[in-house]
Amino acid sequence: MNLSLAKADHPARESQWLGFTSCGRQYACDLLWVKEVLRCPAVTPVKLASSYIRGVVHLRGQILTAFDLEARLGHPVSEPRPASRCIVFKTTNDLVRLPRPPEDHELADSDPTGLLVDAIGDILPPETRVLPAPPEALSGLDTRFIAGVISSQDSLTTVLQIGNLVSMLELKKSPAV
Amino acid sequence: MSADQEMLDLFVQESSEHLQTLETDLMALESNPTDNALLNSIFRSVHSIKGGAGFFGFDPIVKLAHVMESVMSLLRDAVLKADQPMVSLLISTSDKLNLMLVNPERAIEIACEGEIAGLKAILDGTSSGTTPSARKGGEKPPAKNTKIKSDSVFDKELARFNFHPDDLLDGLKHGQNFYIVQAELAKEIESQSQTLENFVSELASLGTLIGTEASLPDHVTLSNCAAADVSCRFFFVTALEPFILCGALGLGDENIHQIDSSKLGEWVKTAPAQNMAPIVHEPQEIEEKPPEAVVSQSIVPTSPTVPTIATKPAEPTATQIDPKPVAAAKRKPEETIRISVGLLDSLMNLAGEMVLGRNRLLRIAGRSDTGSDNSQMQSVVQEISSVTSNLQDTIMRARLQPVGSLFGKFTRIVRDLSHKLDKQIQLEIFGDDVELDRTLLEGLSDPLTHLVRNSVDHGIEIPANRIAKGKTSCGTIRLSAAHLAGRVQIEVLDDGGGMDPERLKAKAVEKGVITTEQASQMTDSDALQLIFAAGFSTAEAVSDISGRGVGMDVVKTNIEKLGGHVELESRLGQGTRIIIRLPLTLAIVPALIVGCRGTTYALPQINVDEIVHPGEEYPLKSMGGARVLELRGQLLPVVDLSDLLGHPPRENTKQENFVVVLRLDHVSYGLIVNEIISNEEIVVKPLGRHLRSVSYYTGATILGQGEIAVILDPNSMAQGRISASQLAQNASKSNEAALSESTSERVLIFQETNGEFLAIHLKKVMRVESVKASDIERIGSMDCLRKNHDSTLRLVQLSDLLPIKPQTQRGDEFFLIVPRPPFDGLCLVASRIVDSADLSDDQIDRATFKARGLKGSAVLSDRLSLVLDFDAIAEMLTAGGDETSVFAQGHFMLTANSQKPGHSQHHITQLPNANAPATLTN
Amino acid sequence: MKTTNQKGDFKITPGLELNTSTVETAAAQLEKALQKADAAKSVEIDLSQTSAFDSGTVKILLALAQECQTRGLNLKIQASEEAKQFLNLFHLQRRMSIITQEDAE
Repeated sequence: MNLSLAKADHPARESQWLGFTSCGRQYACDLLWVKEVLRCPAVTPVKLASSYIRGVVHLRGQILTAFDLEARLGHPVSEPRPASRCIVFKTTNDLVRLPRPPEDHELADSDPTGLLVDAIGDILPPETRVLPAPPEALSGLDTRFIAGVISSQDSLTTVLQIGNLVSMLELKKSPAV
Repeated sequence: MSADQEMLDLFVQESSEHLQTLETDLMALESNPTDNALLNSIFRSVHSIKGGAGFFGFDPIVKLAHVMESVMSLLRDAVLKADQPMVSLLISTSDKLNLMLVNPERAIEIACEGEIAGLKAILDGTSSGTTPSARKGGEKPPAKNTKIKSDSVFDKELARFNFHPDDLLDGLKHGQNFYIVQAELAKEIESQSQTLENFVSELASLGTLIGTEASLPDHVTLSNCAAADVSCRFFFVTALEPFILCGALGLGDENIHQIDSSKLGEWVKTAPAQNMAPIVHEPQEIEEKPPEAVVSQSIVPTSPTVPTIATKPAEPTATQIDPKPVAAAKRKPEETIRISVGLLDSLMNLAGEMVLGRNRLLRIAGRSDTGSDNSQMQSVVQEISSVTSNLQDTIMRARLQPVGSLFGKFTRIVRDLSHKLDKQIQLEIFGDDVELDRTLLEGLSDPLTHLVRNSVDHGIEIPANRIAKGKTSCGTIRLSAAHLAGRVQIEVLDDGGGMDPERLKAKAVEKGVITTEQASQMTDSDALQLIFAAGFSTAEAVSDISGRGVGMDVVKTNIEKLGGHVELESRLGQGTRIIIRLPLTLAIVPALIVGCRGTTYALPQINVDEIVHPGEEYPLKSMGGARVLELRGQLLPVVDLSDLLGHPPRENTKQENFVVVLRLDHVSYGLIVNEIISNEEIVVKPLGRHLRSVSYYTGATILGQGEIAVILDPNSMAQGRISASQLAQNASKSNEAALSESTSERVLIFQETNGEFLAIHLKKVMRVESVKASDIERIGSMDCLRKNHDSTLRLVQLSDLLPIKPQTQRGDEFFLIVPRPPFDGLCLVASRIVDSADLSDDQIDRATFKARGLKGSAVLSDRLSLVLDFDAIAEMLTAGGDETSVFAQGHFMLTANSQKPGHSQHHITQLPNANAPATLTN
Repeated sequence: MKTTNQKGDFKITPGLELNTSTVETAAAQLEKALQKADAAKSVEIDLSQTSAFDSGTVKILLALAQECQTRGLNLKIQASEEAKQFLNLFHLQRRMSIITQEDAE
């Protein structure tokens, strides 16, 4: 059920990127943040949760909060489709053990969080150039979650800022009480 | 590099612990300025902090700690006596150290010149002159006339021994600890059945004995020496830490006096060899040593990080567990280990999962189609079951911490706050070794702080007022913890001014929480409960002292989120008592699993009173905009869970629904759900932070097949939809007649015998049971009905209390009318239930039949009935005193002001796959 | 308690053990004995009859030393090797001279 990614053990300065797709768009995130990838996770929806939360997933006895990427970024939310994959992020406990945690590691959650995506793509090497995102790519989106873009001949990959993504940047009041 | 980080974290962790001890000791020092044990302990704490800081090169910390340590050394040697300003200065220094340790690398930013100056002034003020300052951080050398001289005190200590300074070099080089071990030969050594030779050889085996001195007190001569005891001092060096030494030698803290190695180191350089004759030593000037050399002296000696590094685990975040409460002073390190919080949580999770698996296994094993006839398997299943329970218990216990760790900080809070407010307050702490799950401790911290601050701020009066009232000028706040009936009970008790029910009522009316009419009808004890109402605060201004606008309602909510209850008792002019009751364990609770629109939810069983199928018997109605359920003459406000959760309304099929009657402390309401699934013991898991903003949820759980059910919070759900005023209104109204705003109420008409007809207001009645005479037992002088192993109902014959015809003989079958709590420990005997009827207040004839226990009489259903005044009857029964304490545990409180602590579970219907019904211990 | 005076050495032979069990008696006797020592320059006490050493021994000797000091007498202890070991544990040799048989020889 789970697909564990081999740990990238590099003495390199920067860490690798994990590519993935969601709603036809390409994204990438710092591999250091990634703990594992779940296949076809059973997501239990939670009423009254913020719109960017698709629900919760049972992960080895813990409750994982599953994010809807499109909603989190600010794309118009369509009918939720069953999630093919869930990228599970490391928690605070997981991250402090790393010799070189990602620089936004302080924003990590102490409880498990994850991102629901369609498919996992390639692992990109550390030297991949990440450029600042052009304004068109950002329009209508919450830019706090975007670190930049990776440009290739045929596509633009949006690089996500996971720390911000999983943090409570402002206390969003849920619809109830 | 990461190893460095880990060591640094360890240093910060340990220093924090030292600072906590330091603060506690300094507080105690205020009242006991010459207590040697305290002085020693404080010295050691500062010394350890200094050592560790030196190791990492945190010079500002070393500098501050060093000056403090020097002062402590003088205090400890009784050269100085600690007075109030000195202790305050020390406390303030300890605070600065605390601040510095928050971010040691930036410790320089913490301003502490005041403390340093103050401490130095103390040092300068003593005749021994300045301490030989190990100069760090580029301090200038002292001026000529206060040049570096060893303390004469220091000399005095050592002068009585004879040794050669070179004897010390080895110990200094290896960074060992120097001690003067002092003991009385007969009283302390021989009394432990040790020969002196053994003791000395033991000592010698633990390190190196540098010098020994034996002496008798001055006044002793041959003629009076019989009663005296020889006091012996050993100058001793060892790698061992003081507490280990204590243990190994069988001596106490006060026998072991550690010598500052850095001072010793310096002294060694300057001192000529000691002679046979005891001399007072005059050292020469020493030149300024380069800081590194001096630092290197003080790093290694007593750095606590050095010995413990080898044993620490990988996790940098650490917490210390004490597996069982040990005698405070002599806690040996071998009995505890550090373990990371994350690891402990993982263990908890796993234990929880195991319990669930075990439960499923038990069910499967119990089924006849799978394994119930396989006795081998049965016995294995039983074993596993038992081991699982043990494992769970043990892991739970590992998470327990003494509540003293929480209570400890209040000494400081009370002290500072009372100083600020010019009040005299003494804080008493009891039961600080009672243990609680650590999550409970965390959750208690804020509420308790609020309560204690309240007591200080609003409870205890200023001394002038207290004296005027004839009280002592010093008020007392008592924090206590105790295990009571399967729960932990924490109390905050003060002898202050108490709370004024009238003022509370006035405020409540002002804030629209209740109406004036309700206020006039409200009893004093109910009025006190108003303080828990949302948005209620009697403080004229929300002072920064009393909190950030936090009210008692938040305290209550927070406590209830932990699964506990809060109660309040108060007597105007005398004081206030707040009682917090908490469950012992947190993670596994019985729950009712329900379904709403296809999703599964869990409700804490403790709040579930009963489950009702709305229909003819229990009609669901609308009143104004609200829905209510008629339940035995009471109107219960009702909330639809699907509405609460934001589901769009569905038109049809109300018949399938259920109403779960939820009881909160003072109100009940009904929750409409679609399905009742089961009773389960569930493991409570936290919801991530992104979901915590939904107040209706207090966590989630993983059910048998792995599906997730969110746990609902009955309190928040009530607050969302039901205002206090609406509840209050509903409580006092009754049925159809209520729609037209009349004041008639429903009564139950019954007979005890074949004589008078009696009427009791249904709102006082919880239920009516029919029983057989054979179910009744006689206990003492009472007749009782045993409900289950936990509770007993006492039978009350009204003819004993009222002037009515007594029952000569009870039939084989009769009825028991059980009143609502807090009187549900007794029941009225009735031979026949006649009818129910409406009765309005003005129908009651109060003149014709007058008796205590009767409101009067009325003609109901064409018959004359005597209307019972149940409150008076209850009073008459409780006036019976001790008898009422014999039975009905938890159902009957003795003190007039308290509320019932537990919940009655009598209404839970048995459900299909109920594993175990709810027990009353919740 | 037997006492003799030999050329300025006031010798005491206790005739009983000097330890916790005998403190009161021994101390009293010693005190009485010392009253006769005024003419001497030093006091020598024979410890050979004491077989059990404990804090009482130390106590008596210390008190004795104190007494001698006030009277301006030197104190010497005649002891077995074993006794000397014991007394040295407490560095009593600073307050009194401890002589063993071997030393004397």
